[in-house]
Amino acid sequence: MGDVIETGPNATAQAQLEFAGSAIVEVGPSTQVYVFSQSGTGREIILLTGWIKGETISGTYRYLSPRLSVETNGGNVLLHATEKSVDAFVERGSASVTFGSGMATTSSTDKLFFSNRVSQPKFSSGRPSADFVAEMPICFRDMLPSRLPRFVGKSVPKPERDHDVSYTEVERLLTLPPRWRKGLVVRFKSRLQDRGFRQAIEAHISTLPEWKSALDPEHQQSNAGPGR
Amino acid sequence: MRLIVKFNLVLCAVFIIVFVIASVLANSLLENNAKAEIEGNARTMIEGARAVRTYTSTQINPLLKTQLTYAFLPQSVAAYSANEYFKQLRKKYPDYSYKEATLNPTNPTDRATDWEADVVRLFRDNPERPELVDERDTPTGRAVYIAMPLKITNPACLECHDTPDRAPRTVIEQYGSSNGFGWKLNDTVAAQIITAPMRVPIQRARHALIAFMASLAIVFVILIIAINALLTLLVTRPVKRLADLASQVSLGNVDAPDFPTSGSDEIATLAASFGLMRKSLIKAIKMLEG
Repeated sequence: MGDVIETGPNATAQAQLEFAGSAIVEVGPSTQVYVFSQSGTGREIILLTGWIKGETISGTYRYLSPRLSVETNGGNVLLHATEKSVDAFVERGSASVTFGSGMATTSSTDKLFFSNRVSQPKFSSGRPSADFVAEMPICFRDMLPSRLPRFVGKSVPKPERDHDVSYTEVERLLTLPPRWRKGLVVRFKSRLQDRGFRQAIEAHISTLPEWKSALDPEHQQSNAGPGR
Repeated sequence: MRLIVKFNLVLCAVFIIVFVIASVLANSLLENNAKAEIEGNARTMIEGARAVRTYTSTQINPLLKTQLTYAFLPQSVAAYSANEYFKQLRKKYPDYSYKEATLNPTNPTDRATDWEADVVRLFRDNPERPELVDERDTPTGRAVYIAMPLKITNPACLECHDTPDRAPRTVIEQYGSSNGFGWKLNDTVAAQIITAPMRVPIQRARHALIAFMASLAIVFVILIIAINALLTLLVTRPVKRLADLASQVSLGNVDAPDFPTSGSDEIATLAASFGLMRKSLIKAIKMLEG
């Protein structure tokens, strides 16, 4: 099950994911990323909110978001997601871009920037919008240097348990499109013991139907009993 | 006319002749030296600009390449770096000016004027020629310039100057797609030209000449004073005293004191001979009286 990486709001709060030999992914400030799947030659990384820049060296990388997804085999891709919009820019190389669940478009000289915003028509252009460039973390303007060699031979501190997640903290993750929710109920079921978490799930049960069995396992079992 | 006056007149005449000849020769020599120094400075400045260009295109440009996707950064352009480098130099050398005169530039401010275009064409027609040094008239007076050809030897330069399709979009947005393209590898596309007004070497030569001639005059004055002092001390004063003594002896004053002699110079020899003559004269007078 994939890791969820979240950065703080400070401008310097960033994280870098390095998939040795295949890609470097920079996570900007105020960003939530979910490493959805990893195979030998590729990854699927879901951007829940914020900024990511992915430099793919080899393999197939899919940078996903509910409104827009980008797949590349060797390009640099930037994604910016907010609640109401997703913008993507193919900085180098080529990529295949899909608006929602529509048809994929291959990037070209005139189609490098893609935007999908609420109540606005989807569009693509050869240049990133001025807003996109202005809001982009400044370090995203450069090539991403590999930092992995710095940690060779050094003991890396293990992450420590800080606190149990609240519903608000994982709401974006739990409300992803159903095809990306695989395993989330099992992962966070134990949090139902927390009253606040449970109440939040119950309040949003109409959009989280997969949680019904976890909320009331006995009822579900009796419904699924013999003869039914 | 007194001997010392004659001496001084001759020395002054010789000094004036030497002064005029020295000033003419020194002026020409110093002017040539000042020009050579300016040319040397200009060569060093051009080599410096070349070094900055190479540094920019091999080290800075690759670092900014990704950033060029988002915004045009003049710092990634070799010509910009060279001009910025020269801007700093001009703070110390305000008389010098620098231009990368280009036949087909991306930035219109680099476009070669008529005479600059001729210089670039000269380098194109004579690829082996390393530089051109010449003078030209300008509205502010005569100027000396040194020019060196700029050849495209780094294929990376062609990314922005080959075809508009290959150039970064941000460059096209900044300068359009009609200028600065069609360059070829090993083409002479521009000339680095450093110009300095002629008054600069002339002023330098004049200052040096004034200092040199003043030194020469001071040396001559010291020489005249020394010669006059020596002439008075060693020649005119002893001769005058000897002449006074001779006058006294000629008037029959045989008791006049002897002329003190020391050394072996011509005055001492003359005094010794005078002493002998005086003794013989006294002896002859005494024989006549006896």
